[in-house]
Amino acid sequence: MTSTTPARSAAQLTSVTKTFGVAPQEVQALRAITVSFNAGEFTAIMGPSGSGKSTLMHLTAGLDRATSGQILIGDTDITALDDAALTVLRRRQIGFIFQSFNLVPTLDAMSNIALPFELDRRAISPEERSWIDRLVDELGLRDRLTHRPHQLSGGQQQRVAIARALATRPDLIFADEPTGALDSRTSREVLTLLADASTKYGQSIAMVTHDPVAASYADRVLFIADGQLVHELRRSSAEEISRAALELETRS
Amino acid sequence: MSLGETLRGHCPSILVSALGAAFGSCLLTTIAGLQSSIEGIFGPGASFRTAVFLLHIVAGTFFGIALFVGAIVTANTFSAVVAGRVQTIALYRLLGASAQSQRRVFLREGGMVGIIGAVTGVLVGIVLGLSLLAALVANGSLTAAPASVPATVAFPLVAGVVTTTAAAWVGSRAVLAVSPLQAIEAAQEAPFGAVRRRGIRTGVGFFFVIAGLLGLALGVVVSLDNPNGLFIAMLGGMASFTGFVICANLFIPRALNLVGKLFGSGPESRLARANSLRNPERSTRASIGIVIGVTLVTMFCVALSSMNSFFTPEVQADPDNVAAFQAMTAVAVGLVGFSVIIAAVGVVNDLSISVLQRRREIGLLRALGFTGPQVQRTIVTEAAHMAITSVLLGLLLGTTYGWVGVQCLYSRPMAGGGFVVPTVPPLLVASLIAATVVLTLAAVVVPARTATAVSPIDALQR
Ligand SMILES: Nc1ncnc2c1ncn2[C@@H]1O[C@H](COP(=O)(O)OP(=O)(O)OP(=O)(O)O)[C@@H](O)[C@H]1O
Ligand SMILES: [Mg+2]
Repeated sequence: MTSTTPARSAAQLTSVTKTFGVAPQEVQALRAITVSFNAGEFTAIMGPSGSGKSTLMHLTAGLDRATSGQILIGDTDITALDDAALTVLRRRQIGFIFQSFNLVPTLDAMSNIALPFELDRRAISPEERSWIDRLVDELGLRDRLTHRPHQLSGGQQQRVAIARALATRPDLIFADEPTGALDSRTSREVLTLLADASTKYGQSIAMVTHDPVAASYADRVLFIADGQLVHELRRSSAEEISRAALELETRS
Repeated sequence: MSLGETLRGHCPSILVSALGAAFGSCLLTTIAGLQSSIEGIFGPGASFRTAVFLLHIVAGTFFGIALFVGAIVTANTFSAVVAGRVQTIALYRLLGASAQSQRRVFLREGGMVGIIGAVTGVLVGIVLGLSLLAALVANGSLTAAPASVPATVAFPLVAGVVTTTAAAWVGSRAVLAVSPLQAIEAAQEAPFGAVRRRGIRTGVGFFFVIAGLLGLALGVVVSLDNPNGLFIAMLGGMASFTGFVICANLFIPRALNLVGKLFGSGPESRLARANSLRNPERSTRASIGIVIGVTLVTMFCVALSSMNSFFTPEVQADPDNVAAFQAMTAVAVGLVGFSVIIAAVGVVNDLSISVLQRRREIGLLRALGFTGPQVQRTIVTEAAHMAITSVLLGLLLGTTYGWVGVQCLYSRPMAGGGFVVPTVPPLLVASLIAATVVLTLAAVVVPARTATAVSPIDALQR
């Protein structure tokens, strides 16, 4: 994974526009944005509140529809898919980690991890089983598998969510402020796990964050403002990222 | 909050309170009409007094059952309303309101709901009763008598308001557990499965169940050569049923779990099973009304048809007897069945609310790859768990009680001290199954649609 060879993309958005509401209350959340998430990379998305980060993520993950433009996940143009096909795509090709409420409260940790397989009505193969076992050990969840979400700390819940997202080896994992509800030590742990998943297993990850420290764990940082891609950094320190963010803010 | 907004969550409670009051006032108006019509012919006679008194006892019993089921439904509805307002209550608590003052808000709302419901219900019941009498006069079954509204309708009015208010008080107990912190934290769902420890209640319940079962058994044995056995069995039946209702929160969740397992292990049925067990108290209260209703309906039907089987084939075949038998069954089922309607309102409401409260969870499932139809199937399965469990429990209890009753009444004179085989009318089972299917589908239409309308983005928004 060198930055000199043109990377294959896990997801590719081409001139995507998203408009909410109708004039005169019309809001342009995304304005003809073109972005690519490289396969095997950990990408951070930053930008001021209301800049369109969440919208970008929702559209790319097939949770909402673009007003115009093209979105490719792997080789599939998802703008052409109907709801059922999108659902199956999410199930097999996309992983999610949210800020909170990641887990189904009635299921224990292991059932939550196995949920994507179960939703697919698919038995877990021996190969997948050993992969999950490895994830469970690496994420330190071994003795928590039979616990329900309310019996887990916030950090443990996030780790279960990470295990679930990694379990199906999706094309792309989306994380919307995954450390937003965690203290700084737990945040560091979670971010290290995400960064490791991308370096060790080549997992593509896209993470929305407001925190320059979180973004410094990523291979690449995208800056969004006003529904457009305005700047991009390769792996940088937290200081460099905050400086860039500040500059962009004062420029506008 | 405006009055309209306040009342919206209480619609089911108003409906339940109105149904109960209407039932009571309709019964009383009808009885009064029958009485004045009969007295118009024969003049006031002491023997009628007794008959009328007995009629009032019967009506009072059925009304009491309807009221009791209604109170359970209302308590459940109120606890759901409390759950929906936790954030607001927490905010008030944070700003210094006492838990008791917050709970009194619900008491006041309960009173209001009770008054609106009971007044409407009593008026509707009077109109229905008078129309029924008019219809009887019109088809010649009854001689015309001056129509009047008996003063006794004040009873369902008062009873309706009082029970609704009391049920609101019981249902709002959860207010006391709301912590001001819940206004600050994005509160995790309260740990469920953590049933409140209620040793005393469980103890009392078990005592009633065991004493009642012993009473039933003793009654059966005694009645083999003594007519008083029936009385012992009746007490035993009442005690065991009371005990069952008291500790239903121990039986019903287990029964739900068992029935749930019959649905296989697909993701939909697993999630549905987990959901019907997530709050055992609530599923219990949602199901118990149906259990009570089905038990009573079954008891009457089994008792009547088992009795019927004692008569000689000639007696059984006589069209007059058949008609009388069918009429008796219909009236009994109709009177008891009313509480099933009230219970059904509770089931519908419970499902709708539980879907509303699970928006985020459903959104999460959609995001992770649950399709709309899969979500819908989960909700339908959940409703089916509840309905099937309640009907099965009711059939089991009702058959037992019905059989014991017949056994005690007839073993001595008819079977010469032997044992009676209970008859479970196939028509009853068929119609209960049909009613279950209809109820499940009716209860599930709106919630299932709400659930599929949940967008996966809901899960991501705070
Ligand atoms: N469902 C919606 N209806 C109308 N407008 C919306 C909707 N969702 C988002 N918007 C608008 O689109 C713009 C982008 O919103 P978005 O949630 O993507 O911002 P964000 O970058 O994620 O902000 P934050 O950092 O605060 O989460 C905002 O102006 C927002 O008000
Ligand atoms: Mg956002």
